[in-house]
Amino acid sequence: MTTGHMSMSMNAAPGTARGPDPLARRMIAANLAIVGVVLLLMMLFGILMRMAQGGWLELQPDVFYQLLTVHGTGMVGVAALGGVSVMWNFASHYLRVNGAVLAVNLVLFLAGVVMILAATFWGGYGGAWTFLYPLPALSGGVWSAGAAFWFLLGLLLVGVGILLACLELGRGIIAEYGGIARALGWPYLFGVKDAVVPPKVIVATSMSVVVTTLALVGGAVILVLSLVNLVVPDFVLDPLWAKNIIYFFGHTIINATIYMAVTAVYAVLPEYAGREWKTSRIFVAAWMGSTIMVLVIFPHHLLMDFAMPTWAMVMAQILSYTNSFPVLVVTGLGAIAVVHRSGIRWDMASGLLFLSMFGWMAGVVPAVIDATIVVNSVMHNTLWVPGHFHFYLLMGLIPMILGFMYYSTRDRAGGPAGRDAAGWMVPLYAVAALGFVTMFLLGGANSVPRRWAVHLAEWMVYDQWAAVFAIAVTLLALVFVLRYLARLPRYLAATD
Amino acid sequence: MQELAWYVTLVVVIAMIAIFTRVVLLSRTAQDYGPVQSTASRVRSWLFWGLVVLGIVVAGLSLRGLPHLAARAGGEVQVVNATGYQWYWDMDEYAVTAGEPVEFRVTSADVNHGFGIYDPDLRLVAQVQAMPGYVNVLRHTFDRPGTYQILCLEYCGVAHHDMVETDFEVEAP
Repeated sequence: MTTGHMSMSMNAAPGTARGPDPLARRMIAANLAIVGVVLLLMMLFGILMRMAQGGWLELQPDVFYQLLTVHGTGMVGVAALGGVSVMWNFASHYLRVNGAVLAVNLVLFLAGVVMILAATFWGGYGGAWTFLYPLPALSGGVWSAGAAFWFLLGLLLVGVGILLACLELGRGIIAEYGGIARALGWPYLFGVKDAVVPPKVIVATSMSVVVTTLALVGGAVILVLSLVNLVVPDFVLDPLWAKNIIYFFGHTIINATIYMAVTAVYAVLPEYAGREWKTSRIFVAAWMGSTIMVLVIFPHHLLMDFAMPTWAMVMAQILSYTNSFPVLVVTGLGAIAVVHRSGIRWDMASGLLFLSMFGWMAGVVPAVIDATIVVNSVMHNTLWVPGHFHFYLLMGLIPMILGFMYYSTRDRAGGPAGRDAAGWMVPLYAVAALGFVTMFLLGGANSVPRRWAVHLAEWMVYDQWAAVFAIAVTLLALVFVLRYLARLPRYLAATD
Repeated sequence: MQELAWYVTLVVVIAMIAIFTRVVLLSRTAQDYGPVQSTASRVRSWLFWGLVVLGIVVAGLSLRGLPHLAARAGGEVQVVNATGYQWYWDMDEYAVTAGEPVEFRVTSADVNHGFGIYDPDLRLVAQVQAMPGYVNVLRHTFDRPGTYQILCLEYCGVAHHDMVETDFEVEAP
């Protein structure tokens, strides 16, 4: 690629340069519509679970754990599908990538979803999305090896679809920038003369492609080995090794979805604020740190496995601390600076995207605290854990995706993306989501175990309030998604 | 420890809410970006070094009490061998003495379980994973007599929530 071409790409504002090809535009719209619908369904399952725990709804334990399994799998699935779609949209302003890959991704996603739903609700599989070896094969007679097989195969298909999309983006990055390291800005960081300064979106996309690809390859390995174990029970794995690989995959992929979707913040907030958010050496260094740290901090999920080497545990705690630096010190603070006294135009898109910065930054706090080993001893696998990840998913990732939905279907003539309702809907969503995660955190602080179908009477107060807040969150999400779906036909007609 | 975690989270999150609210309220008034960037740069430096110092202090203090290291210390201990099954605990001792260290040697006969020790007020005081093929060693000294419970803290199937040992006695010395 020539320097002149790079210069054009770097200076091109999203929406004015290449952008996604017509097929990719349609696929992104379809993906986001599916994300919206599945998100609502998974939220409904979440409400049912919290109501059951609160004693307001009778659910048989096997049904509860099936809902738990589908809720976790579905949420990770829409996070990945939504994240890839957002990232693809903004990255394709700088890259030449083939939208047909997104179509293949969607086909694999849907095929996987069908298998997962059938395995769970028809086959009775309830081994959680984490499929912790050897649970899929040892259900105590509740589900068959066949049900577990179809679940794991479905998960594998979803993963392969996301992997293909990441590989295509990686190919596009290498074709455009001559290598992933260049697109990550490493030559610029280390002072190489005439080094290219990549746009923020490309730095984030490159990092996401690297960590997602590695996570999904790890995930594919453990999924295939677990599938073999189901077919040939004499083929056994080391449970500790399997757990390490599963959390390498699980931790990395769910975190990667936020790094994918934050491309929307980098592209949209400066546009709305009328300010330039330049790529600096600090920014590049922060993303270099994130690239490495996200891949190696997964042992903080194994802090209570005392068979793990002590050095790995100490490393997990310290790197969990340092991994928060790029989020807090660079991206979060940078977003605040872009908005502060900027005269920014507030609407649904900008409002949700700015909320996402709060959710991501604040969600780091309970996460980092739980990664402290002495705290983990009395917090691990309590409700504190879903408390922290719902914090940065419900108030970080989801607003990023919803904000992008509004941004992508905004009036191209410059009209606001839902300005009328943004003033109250976004704060209301924030309050409801904050109330919901607070009940998880309070439950965790009071030692309530996670993933229990039945709760003791003294724990139910947190569950009941959580159910109320969850209903409010879901109703607001319903309005967000319906408004997006209503605007979609006009958007698609305009891009034909 | 749980209270500390809760109140630290509460204070920091409220501070962040205050910052974001203030930024939103002031966002409608436009100002040159230059001075804002200068301020952000100064805040970034303070925040960075503040977090570095805080991280070193917290890590230095908290890493001294690692349960992994406590398990390797010598000395006289009361030993309890515990094995997790779907969905019950099998233990060779159901009573220990307060004030003297207890060494729990925890494993599983089938899938992963979590050995969570709850005090008479249902507060989690210590835990370790129960994994097939491995014996995880947890040392804990009970400072309070009473009837404790062992709750499963790793999802292990359809009766995970029923995997509770309700009668673990900690007797007064």
